[in-house]
Amino acid sequence: MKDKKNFKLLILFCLIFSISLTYPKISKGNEQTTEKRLNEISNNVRCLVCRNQSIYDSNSDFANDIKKIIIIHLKDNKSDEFIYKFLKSKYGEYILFKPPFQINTLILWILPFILIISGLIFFTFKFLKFRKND
Amino acid sequence: MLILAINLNVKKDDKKIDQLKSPLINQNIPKNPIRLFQKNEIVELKNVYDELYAINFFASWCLPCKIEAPAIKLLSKKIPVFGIAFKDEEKNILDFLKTFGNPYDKIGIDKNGFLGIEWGVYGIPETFIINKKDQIIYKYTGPLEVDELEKNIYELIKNER
Repeated sequence: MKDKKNFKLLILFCLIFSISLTYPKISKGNEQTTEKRLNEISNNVRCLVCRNQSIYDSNSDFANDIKKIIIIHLKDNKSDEFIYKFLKSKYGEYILFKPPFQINTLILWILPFILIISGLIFFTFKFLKFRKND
Repeated sequence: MLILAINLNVKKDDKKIDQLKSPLINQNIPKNPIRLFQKNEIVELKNVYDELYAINFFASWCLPCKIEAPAIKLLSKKIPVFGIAFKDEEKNILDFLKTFGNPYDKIGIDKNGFLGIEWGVYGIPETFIINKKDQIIYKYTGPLEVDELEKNIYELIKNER
C-alpha cells in the first residue's frame, strides 16, 4: 500500500519536473515565433516618417511604437490579418507595402502582366511584318 | 523622361507623408479612456463634450508644437480644444504651458504613444475636429497655421454649427 503511494508520488514528481523542463522551451519557442512574425509584419509596414523604409529597417519613434503595438497584438494571439487590418484602419492602405488584392488595387496587380503581354504582341507583329517585307 | 517620372513620384510621396488622407475621417472617435493631466481622473471623450471640439496632440519636446501655439490659441477662441500631451513629462508640460500659454480646455496624457496610434497619429502636432456626433470630420498633420484656420477650419466650424 505504502509502495503504491510512493509510486504515485514519484509519477507526480516526474510529471511536474518534466513540465518545468519543457516550459522554458515552449516559452522560448513562442518568443522566437513572435519575433519571426514581428519581423515579417514589420517588413511589410511602411514607416510613415521615413523615406521608403519599413518599420523593420527604421529606428524612429514611430516605427518603435508600431512595433510595440504589433508585439502586444502578437502576444494576444491576434492573427497577421488582424494586425494589418488594425494598422490599415488607423493609417490607411499606404502604411502597407504590399497592397491587398481587392477591386480598387486590381490595376496595380494586373498592370505589369498587361504591359508584358502588350509588349510581346507588339514585338511579334513587328517581327512578322519585318519577315514579310524581307 | 525617367528622371521626370522619378521626380514626380518623389514629390507625390512627399505630399503623402505630409498630409495622408486619414481613414478615420467620418468615423467615430476611438473609445480609449484618457487620463487627465494632473488629475486622478480618466475620461472618455464622448462623455466630455456635446458640442464641436478639437483634439490637439502636442509635446513640449516638439518644435512645431511651439510654432503652432498661436494658431491653437486662436482656434480655442472658437471651439474647446482638448490637448493630448504625447510622450511627455509632467514638469516639461507645465513649462511648455507656462511659456507658450495654455489654450486647452482640458489636457489628457498619452504616456507611451499608444493613444496616438489609436488616433492614427504619426507626426505631432496633429489636430482633429470632432462633430457633435463624436465623428472625426477633419485632421491636420503638422503645425497648424493661421492661414489654414482662415481658409478651411473656420468655414468648417461655421458649417457644422
